[in-house]
Amino acid sequence: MTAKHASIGLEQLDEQELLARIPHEPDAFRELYRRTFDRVFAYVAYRVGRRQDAEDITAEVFMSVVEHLARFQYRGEGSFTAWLFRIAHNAVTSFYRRQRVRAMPLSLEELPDIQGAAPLPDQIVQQKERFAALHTAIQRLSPRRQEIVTLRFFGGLRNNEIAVVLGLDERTVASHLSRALEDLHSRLIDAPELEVLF
Amino acid sequence: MTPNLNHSHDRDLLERLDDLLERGVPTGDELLDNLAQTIPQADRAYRDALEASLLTRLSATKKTERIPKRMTALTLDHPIRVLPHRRIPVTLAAAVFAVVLAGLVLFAMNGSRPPAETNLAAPLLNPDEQQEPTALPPMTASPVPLTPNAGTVSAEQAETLDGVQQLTATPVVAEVQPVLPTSTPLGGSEQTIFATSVVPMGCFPPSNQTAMVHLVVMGETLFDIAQRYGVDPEHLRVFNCLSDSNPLVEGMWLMIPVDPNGVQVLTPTLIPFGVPADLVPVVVARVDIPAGVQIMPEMLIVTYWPASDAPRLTANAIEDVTGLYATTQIPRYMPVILSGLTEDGEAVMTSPTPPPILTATPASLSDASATPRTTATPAPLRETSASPQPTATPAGG
Repeated sequence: MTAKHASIGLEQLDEQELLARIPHEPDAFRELYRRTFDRVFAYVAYRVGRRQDAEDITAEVFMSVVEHLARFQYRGEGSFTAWLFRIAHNAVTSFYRRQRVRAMPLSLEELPDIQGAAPLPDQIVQQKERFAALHTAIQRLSPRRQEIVTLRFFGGLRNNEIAVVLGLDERTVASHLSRALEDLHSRLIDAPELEVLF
Repeated sequence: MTPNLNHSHDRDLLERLDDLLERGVPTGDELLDNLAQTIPQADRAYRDALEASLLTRLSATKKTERIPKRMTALTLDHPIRVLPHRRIPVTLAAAVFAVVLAGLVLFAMNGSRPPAETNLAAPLLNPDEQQEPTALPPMTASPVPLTPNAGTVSAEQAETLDGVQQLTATPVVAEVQPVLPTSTPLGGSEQTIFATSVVPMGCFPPSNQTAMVHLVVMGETLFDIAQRYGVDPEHLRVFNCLSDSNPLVEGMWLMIPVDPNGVQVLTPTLIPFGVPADLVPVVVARVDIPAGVQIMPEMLIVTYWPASDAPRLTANAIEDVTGLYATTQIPRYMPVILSGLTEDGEAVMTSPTPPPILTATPASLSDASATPRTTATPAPLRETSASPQPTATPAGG
């Protein structure tokens, strides 16, 4: 089987089948990585704000995945994603514990790129400013709600997966999410410097 | 899909959110739509580089899992004598053990000198082996008992991280004495151990640990390194005696404690990918060894390096360099180069640039046995990390 054919085949496999192939087929890990990388990076980047920090933590997360993959036990659909984001969640928590300062001012140069970035420099700057404003607004939520909002929006996890990652009931997650969005609405209205960006 | 919520408003909000995130349908809500439009994206080059690195690591991890014993059986102070894959028959091992046991029993019955048990103190000498003071380096004169509070560490204390931590907190340089009192009763309850050379004090990694070396490169943090090797950062800090006065810096060699039963994941800075590699033993300094100091086993560690990366002309066994004198300072964790050692201690001591480490403290050698807890003369081992304590901590204090 050629590499091209193998690659096509891997794209059609689900997580469980890919995980089973990893021990003797590195391309299976590559496929799994490509499926999850963008979500992990987006989640981490929104949590920490700085691109450099996000890259460091993302690398740390995937290195940890590689090192502990042999111990991972598949427990049904979504269990790998939940495990992966649990590692990411721990890495971010650990990062903030080391930093000791939760909110630090961000400069535009430090911000990550945004998906589907606009072609014009002015638009790119505008997107980044919007990102910075939302990042700041989210950071003002309680830690639990920050976690839930970022996992939902940027990690792309569903409520039941978030419940597994955070060890909560699914209804609790939904409730927190709903309240967090209401909080964000009100905070953005109360903060003209953020609202003006929209 | 949406769990039971108390308010229809909540359900509506979450349903719109699902539409947005899973089907890309704009909600018309400014906040939600903006959140969905500001998803960060990693640099493609970074993503690809990380992917390549992960695949390499994955490959190395698999290979390492097959050779855990060889890579991890690197016990400090105890270089490997027998390769792990050489199986000794049980009967032969039992016979050897019986012979050794019988020898020890005979040895004890004959009242011979007890074996030196401590790793960190200098070897015990038989009272019968009287040495002429003139044959010894004239750098020190005050016999000092190597008690923990005098700035050194006992073997028992060194076994625990707490002991190391304690020493880290109170770095002291012990004055040492190369001459033994002739009347000190060795082996008794009042036994006092005397160093026969300079033992730089401060912090030691615990003995009987297994370790590997790691070269710190620019941008690495203690946490990164600990994470990479799967060890606790605090453990790593204590193990390497890192502190505010001895911070992690680029180019520093770190000792990575290794679980002898575990699997060690290797990194490019330590072993190139594609292990197993031919490893060679290299003796490195466990502490800073100043020029003019007689090398003792407790100052050294045997580490294993890839043959292609191992420095040349280095000592391969602790025994090869024990008793020699350093002609230049050997920084901690740096390999011991054979050309930097000499057998002539006096020549080193009478060189135009005597080592500025210790201050001679003339004291009556004959009083040594009568006053086994002679006060040590603390002196900073390194000028940059001078001890904050003006005097040595009294024994038992």
